Amino acid sequence: MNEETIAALATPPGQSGVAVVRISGERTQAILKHLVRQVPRKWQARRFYYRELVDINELIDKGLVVFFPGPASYTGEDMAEFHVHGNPFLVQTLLTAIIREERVRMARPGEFSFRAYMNGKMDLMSAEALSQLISAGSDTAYRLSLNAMSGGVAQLAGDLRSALLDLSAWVETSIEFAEDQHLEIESQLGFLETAQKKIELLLGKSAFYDRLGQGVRIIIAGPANVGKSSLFNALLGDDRAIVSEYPGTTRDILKERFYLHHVAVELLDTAGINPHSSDQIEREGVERGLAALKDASALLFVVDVSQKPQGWEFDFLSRFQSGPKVLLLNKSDLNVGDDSHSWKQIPQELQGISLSVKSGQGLQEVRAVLEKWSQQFKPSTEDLMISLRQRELLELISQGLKRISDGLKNGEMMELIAEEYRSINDHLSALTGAVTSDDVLQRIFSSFCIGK
Amino acid sequence: MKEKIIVVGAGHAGIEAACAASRLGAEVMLITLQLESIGQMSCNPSIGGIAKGHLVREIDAFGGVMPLAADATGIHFLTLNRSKGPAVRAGRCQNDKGDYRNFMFRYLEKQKNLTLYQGMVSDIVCQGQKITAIKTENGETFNADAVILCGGTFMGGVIHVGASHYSAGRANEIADTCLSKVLQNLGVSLKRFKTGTPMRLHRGSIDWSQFIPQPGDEPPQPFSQRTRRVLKNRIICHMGRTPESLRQIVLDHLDLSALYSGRIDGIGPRYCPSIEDKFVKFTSRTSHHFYLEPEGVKCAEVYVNGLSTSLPVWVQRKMLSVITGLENAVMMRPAYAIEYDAIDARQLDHSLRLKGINGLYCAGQLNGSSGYEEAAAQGLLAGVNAVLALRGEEPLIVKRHQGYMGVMVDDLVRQGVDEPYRLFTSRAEYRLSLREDNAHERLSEMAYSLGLLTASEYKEIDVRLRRRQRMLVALGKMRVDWQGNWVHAAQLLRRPEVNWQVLKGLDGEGILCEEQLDESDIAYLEANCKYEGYIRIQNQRLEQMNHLLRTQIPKDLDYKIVPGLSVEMVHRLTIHKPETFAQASNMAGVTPAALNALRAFLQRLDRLKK
Repeated sequence: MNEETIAALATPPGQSGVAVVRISGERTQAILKHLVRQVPRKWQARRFYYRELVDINELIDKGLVVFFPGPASYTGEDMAEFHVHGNPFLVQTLLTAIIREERVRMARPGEFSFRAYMNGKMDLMSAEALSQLISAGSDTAYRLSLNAMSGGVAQLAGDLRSALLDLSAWVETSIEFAEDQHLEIESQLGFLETAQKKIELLLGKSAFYDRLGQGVRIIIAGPANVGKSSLFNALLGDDRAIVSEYPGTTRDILKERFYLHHVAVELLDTAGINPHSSDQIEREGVERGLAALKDASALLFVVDVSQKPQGWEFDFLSRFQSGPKVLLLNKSDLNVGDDSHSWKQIPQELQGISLSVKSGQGLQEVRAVLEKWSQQFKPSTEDLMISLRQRELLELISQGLKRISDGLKNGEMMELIAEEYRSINDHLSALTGAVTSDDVLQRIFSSFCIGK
Repeated sequence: MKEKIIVVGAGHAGIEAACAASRLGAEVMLITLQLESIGQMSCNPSIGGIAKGHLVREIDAFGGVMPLAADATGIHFLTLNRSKGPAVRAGRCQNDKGDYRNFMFRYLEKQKNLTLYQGMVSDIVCQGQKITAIKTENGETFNADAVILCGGTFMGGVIHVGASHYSAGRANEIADTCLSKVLQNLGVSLKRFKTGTPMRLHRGSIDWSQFIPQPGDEPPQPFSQRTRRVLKNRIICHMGRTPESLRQIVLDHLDLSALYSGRIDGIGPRYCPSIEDKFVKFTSRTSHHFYLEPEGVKCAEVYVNGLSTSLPVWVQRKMLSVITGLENAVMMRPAYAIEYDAIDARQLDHSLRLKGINGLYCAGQLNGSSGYEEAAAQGLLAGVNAVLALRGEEPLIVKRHQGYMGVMVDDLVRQGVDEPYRLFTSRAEYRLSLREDNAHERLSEMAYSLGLLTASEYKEIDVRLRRRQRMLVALGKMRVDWQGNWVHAAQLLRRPEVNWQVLKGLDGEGILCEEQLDESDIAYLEANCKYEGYIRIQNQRLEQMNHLLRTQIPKDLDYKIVPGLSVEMVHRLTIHKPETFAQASNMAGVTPAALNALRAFLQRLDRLKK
């Protein structure tokens, strides 16, 4: 149990000035070596170092790092803490980089204290208190079933499970029924590569971040020249918003994005589209626009109230079903004639806000909506844990698959490759539900014809 | 007073049960429906195979008969998966069926404390929960302290060939019509299973030149450590493929197959499908392999492995006519399917005793397993345990990490089966450690302490083990020149491309030749090097688990102080007062979370003590 090094966010999730990520275990020093740029020649215990934290060569943040050599630490093991900006996305990136290390994983609720207790650093009385944490955490935090994942992720995970079952079955068949099967390694390598790609998809997919809550995306969309950028900047200028400009942190970062509490607000251009146009390109534009909105949790649709609606806007709005939406009628400061009446024909269920970014009118209301939504989409520690845990399992599976690929290429023995598959199946069980040896047998028999 | 044991059925399970019990000093009566068919191989004339060969070695480690018989009557020996790693290599031999039966009969005749008797058991007599006697159909009563049922496929056996069917336990042998009822009266629930066997052809009518020869190993490897004679391959087996037209014939007449016409209710094994199963399920394959295996050296019958079916005989003949080389083949026996009663093995405990009754054991195919080796292994365990129970001793239970026997029994009694159970290596979590080359190392100490091995047999095993240890040490110290670098031999052997032969080639000083090593020793040494990392991790986990299970729980522990236990768990544990963690984990109603909390607490206590 104590073989793996654990990591966790020690401060409450969400926006704050500082976030503290702590790690405990024998891999602490290795993690420090990989994550800290300009590692000091000798880490002085309990001294704060102001350093850049990097993920390979990409900068995550610049913050404070402190090292606690065991046994003089909270848990009794080697520990370290990273004090970074309290931005959830940043924390996510940091934790991801940490658990990518070998034999490092996310901590279970209360696990630091648990280790402290196990290493004799804490007495029974304190342990009683933590027992609540342990038992409360066990059922819910490990709801890593398909239901806990967002739809797209669940689908991919299901496909992965199926592919890996096939691969397991192939290896087992080659062991049990040597003579009957003509088994080509090439095709297996091909399947492995496909499985790897699926995992990469899962790992890279922003759908993961959806579950975190940080990835909750509120999109500001609308036709060209309606004042989206101005609105964006106006909201940005608000000193409660935090900019997320971390050069090169991950490939997913959009330039026009900011965080309000833990919610990401993004700018999306749906310029000049007209679904009723006979122009195919324009129609495609609408579809693309809707596709881009697919992963959005909520929509602020901005229009220029001084212009006549072109007709496609309400249709577009009605097709957005992923979450709450508000119509912002911008440029209300401009004198409008009868055209404005057309905008007043908005459907009942759609909330409309009269806005003028220029004059500031309505901005307060918009902020209130954002505030309300950010409360609604608040992530729980649970969600954070589940997603990171899922990610961790996928990383482990990916590493295992790589070992299998290499093994097959180097002529490694089938039974050792089978052992790797067994570990992978264990991880898969945690991710998608139990995989038993009977499942593998079932797959063997359904896809292979057995002779003797 | 010697214990009186009655073994019902003299098939592979019955023979091992009877011999094991009599070796332990009990007085055994082996009762069978037909003395002439003792040790009959119903189906494949062969012993061993992947996972099955492993069982045979384990049976040998316990001093059983099957390995001796296999070696004595083997006519073709092959090591399967030879090019693969040591854990998955397995021995398989073809046997002369007649010789095998004769060997078994003579062996049983010579066995002390063992009587053979022909008859059908019509009732099992109990007094309260304890077995006291059996009754036979001809009105006799035999007292017994324990009864071991090894009825095989005979209970309620019905044979199907196409549309015709008749009561039989095996082709042309009467079925047992009493035992099923007897068991049901005792409260045992039964299932109905099926299996099949292919046709037999006359050797002289086959054009052997049309098939691919499969010679045996040179030299052949014995199954038993006790085998002294030099083994010889006396026949060659042959392989063929079914033509496209055969597939058509099968599909055209599917409605005539007993399996597909719904006349058979029994559930058959997935992995041993009839030829109609194969074509129906695997629609992409238009052709299948089959093997022609002579049933003896002088015997005229040839077993056609792979063409099991319940299609009518005339369809079988049609199939033969389209196979090149078999156009003129003369059928000596048609293929058939057989349905039979089996018990739900979950009614047995790990010693193979029927729960709720003292002294009634079940072993072999009637437990839902399939295969001679599976049956023999169970028979041996049941025979030993029947005696041990009467002596008030702990039963012989092989754990999952100790042998395939353990994997099989645990699978059968804990999970039960929906179809005939056959062993595969993939069922074993500890596959890397459960090998043919180390069966004796794993089990012979257990066997010796029970009295199943003689002192000299045990000594021989010990000598071999020491020899292997010495060589392992030598490998650890020895260095060879590998592509310009000096590396440890043990390290080098770990590489997939390096095996013993390669290593020998690099051994300038002849260190590897210092000991007399046979194939099994070499496999052992290779395995120890190649699997070392994985086995170490498995052993660690195992050790942790064992240590945990052994952990004593303090007698006066107030469960209220254990963090993480719910009120209900505290209550349960306080009432039952388990003495060890193992006991706690076996208690009904204790949740995994509670066990976890208890484990953590006990580990903490353990640490404090240190």
